[in-house]
Amino acid sequence: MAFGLVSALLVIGLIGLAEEGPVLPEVPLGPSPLSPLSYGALSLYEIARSAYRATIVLTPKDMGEVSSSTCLYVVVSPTIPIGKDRADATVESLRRGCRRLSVLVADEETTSNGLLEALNSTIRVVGNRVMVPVGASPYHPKASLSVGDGTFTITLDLASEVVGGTTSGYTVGVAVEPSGGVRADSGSTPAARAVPVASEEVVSGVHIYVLGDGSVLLNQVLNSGDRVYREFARKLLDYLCAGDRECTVVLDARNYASANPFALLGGGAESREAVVSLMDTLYVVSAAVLAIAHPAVWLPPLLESADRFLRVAVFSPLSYAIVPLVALYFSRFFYYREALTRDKPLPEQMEKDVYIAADLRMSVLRGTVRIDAKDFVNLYDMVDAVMTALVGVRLSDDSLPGVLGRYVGSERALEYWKGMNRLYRRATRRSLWPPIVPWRRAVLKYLEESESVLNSLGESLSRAAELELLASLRG
Amino acid sequence: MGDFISRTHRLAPYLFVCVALATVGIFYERVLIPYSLALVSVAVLMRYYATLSASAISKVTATARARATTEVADVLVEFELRNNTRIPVLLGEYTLSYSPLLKIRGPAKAGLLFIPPSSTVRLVFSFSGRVGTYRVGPLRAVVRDPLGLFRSGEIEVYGTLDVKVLPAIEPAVVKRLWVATRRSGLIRTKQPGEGVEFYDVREYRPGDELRNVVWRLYASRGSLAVKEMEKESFQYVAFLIDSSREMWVGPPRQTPAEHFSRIVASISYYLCSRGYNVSAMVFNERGVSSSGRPSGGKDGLRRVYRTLLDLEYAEDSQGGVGLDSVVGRLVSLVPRERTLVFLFTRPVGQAREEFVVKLSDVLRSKNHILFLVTPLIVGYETSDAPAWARKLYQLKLYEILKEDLESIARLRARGVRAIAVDPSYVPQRVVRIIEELV
Repeated sequence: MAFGLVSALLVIGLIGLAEEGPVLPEVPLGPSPLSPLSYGALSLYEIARSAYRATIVLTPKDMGEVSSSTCLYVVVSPTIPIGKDRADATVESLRRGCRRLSVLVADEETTSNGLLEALNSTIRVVGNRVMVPVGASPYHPKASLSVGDGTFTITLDLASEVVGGTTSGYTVGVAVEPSGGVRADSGSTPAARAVPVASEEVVSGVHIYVLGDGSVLLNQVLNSGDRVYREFARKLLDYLCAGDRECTVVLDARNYASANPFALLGGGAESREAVVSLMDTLYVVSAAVLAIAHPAVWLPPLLESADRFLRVAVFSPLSYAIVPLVALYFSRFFYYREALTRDKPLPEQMEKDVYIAADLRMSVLRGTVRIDAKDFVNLYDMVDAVMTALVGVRLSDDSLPGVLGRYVGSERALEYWKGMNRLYRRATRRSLWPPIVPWRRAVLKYLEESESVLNSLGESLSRAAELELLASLRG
Repeated sequence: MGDFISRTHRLAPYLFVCVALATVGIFYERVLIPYSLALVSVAVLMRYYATLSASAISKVTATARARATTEVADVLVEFELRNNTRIPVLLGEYTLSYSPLLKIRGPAKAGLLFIPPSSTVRLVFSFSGRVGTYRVGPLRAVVRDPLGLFRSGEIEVYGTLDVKVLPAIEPAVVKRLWVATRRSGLIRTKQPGEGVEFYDVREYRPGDELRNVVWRLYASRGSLAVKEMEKESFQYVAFLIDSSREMWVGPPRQTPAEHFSRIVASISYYLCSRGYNVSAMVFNERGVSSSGRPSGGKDGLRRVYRTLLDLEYAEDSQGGVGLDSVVGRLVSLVPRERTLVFLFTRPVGQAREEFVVKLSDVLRSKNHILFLVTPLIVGYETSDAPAWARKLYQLKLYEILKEDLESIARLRARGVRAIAVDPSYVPQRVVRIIEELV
């Protein structure tokens, strides 16, 4: 019973899920705070959450709900350019919800400049690349970055020059355009100089810090084992939150694209950019498996296949004979699982009265009792006992008619006396006359007659037992 | 619970109809297939309902109470059934078992049971009163689904309850006993005669025993006087009632066992009110029950009544009555003082005759007196037959009557004082016959 109930609920749940439709998990691309991939920024979110309240904004509604005494809005290398409208709306939401606002932009492209413009900041990310003249990694300059009262020396990845504001970090190298580039060993190498890669300013009470490289805040860097990057990220957050424990770090996830896990597994350009490690691959695979496991994906095709099968298998001419036989065969397992009982009403209690001769009693009441000569002998003996007790004369005595005649008339008494004795002799075989006697009729007749005679004497045959007893006791 | 529910013979034709519908649906009219599936679903639901109902009724808590006084009032047995679950018992069927000698007056001994959820229902059964101990119960039930496709096993809702009913006292008889017992010596005679109680002092007459002379008076008066003792009466009376199966012959309330219990109750009531000590003993196939040594007053009467409640028709007992244990038990309970013992039994058969003779001899050796009161069973057997059939019935039972009379004659020949009664006798007749014998 429980199994059936659970099964039924399971089927209902599956159908409900299928009706809802699949929730295809999209894999966020780029430095999205939602992405655990190598190029994601989930680790930065976790660092922020470990010290402050951190929230990830997915929709304008989420942005509108941001409210705190101190807010730090963080943007890391957005892959979707922040347009003017969105930037204005973001800044307005933040100014409305936050008493004190700081902004951290870590970007090596110009996609964040729209936000800086909306903040009325003079800082801009140039969008070029700073190269190191010598060395095997020309795009990995070492930079000295000031964060508050601390200074960090970290290796940047693809860093861009940052102009405007107050420089708070620089590297020594050559700033070149991203499309071109000057090789370190080329003959026309320009001279290396101190290129600002970080800048900050306070505009209308908003503390803005811009770093020309978002890579230093990616998962693969923060989880690389080089603690300086985590310390740097943590220091940045502390600096920009100005020591407010109630600071809310807002990471915007709207600025990044996402991709279908199946597309990422397909091995295209998108895949090469997003899936760079084994862990990235496992994550994408698990997202794909979740998508496949949803009932909306497999249930409708399954039912369709079953329907096609049934159409072919059940409703084909051959199955008209096979299916009922198979159903009959399997039905017996369910039919015979239950014990069979012939359903009858519960037995009722029988009431009874105890009789020594119950069968005899029944036959007397039904009128089917057998009466023979022996019964006449018993009748004679009963009457004899009563007569003896009452009048002191036996029934066989010649003088009885005279005695009885005083009560019932002499003629009747004589006839009664003769009849009783004649039949008594016949019943005891002392005489063979009359030859044929219907004993039943004779006994019933003389039973009535005897009762009548005794009634005349003031007695009854039913008192025969008592009278006989008294006679025997006196005797 | 799956083993507890069984399918009935109706399920097979029901499923046959489902299959037939499905078959017709497959071959001809597709619209019938859903109907067939619906019918199968209904069967499944019925099975589920039967399980739920069986679970509910097996969790019913039942209490019972019996109200019984004397045999003239009905016996009421009330069952209170409480459904502790939220499942209604819609189609329960109950049946009540009880001693076969009881006659139910209402309601029906079997019927339908409906118990709403978390509710209590009462079943009150009324029986015609009969003297003795009777068993009422168990109360059993089964449940079915509305279509009768499945049925539970029998569930015992309540077990067995013993009901005890007292015999009725007949006030008119008690009044007449006052006269009868005076003459028979069952009470203090207030007459001079042989005895140990002082009665009076009178003048010496020739022939008086010298040991009765009051010498103190002779010394003071100078004339001879003798003390006169009160004629001795019996101070202790014991009643011994045979409650074995053959003493329950006859229609309800007219059996020898019930008749004798009424006699004993009436006489005991009178004797106890007059300060005599009485005791009672009841025996049947199940054993012996006694009120202990004779005692008087309300306590003695209460003990006698409690013993009379143990009268019982031992329907299912194997074997006969342990007569030797009866003798032993009676001898241990009878006091040293002279006791009048009434034995109510039918001494037919050698074992019974020997039992009576042995008891008589044992009691006589201890200076007690035994009176055998035996029912003429033919009278009891035919008492409720219609008038037109009674004489023929008695005629057919004449052999049994002769057997009873011969048995009495044999016992009298062996020194047993025997009295025979039938349903038309009343207790004062019993006492009058004693007078004739004494």
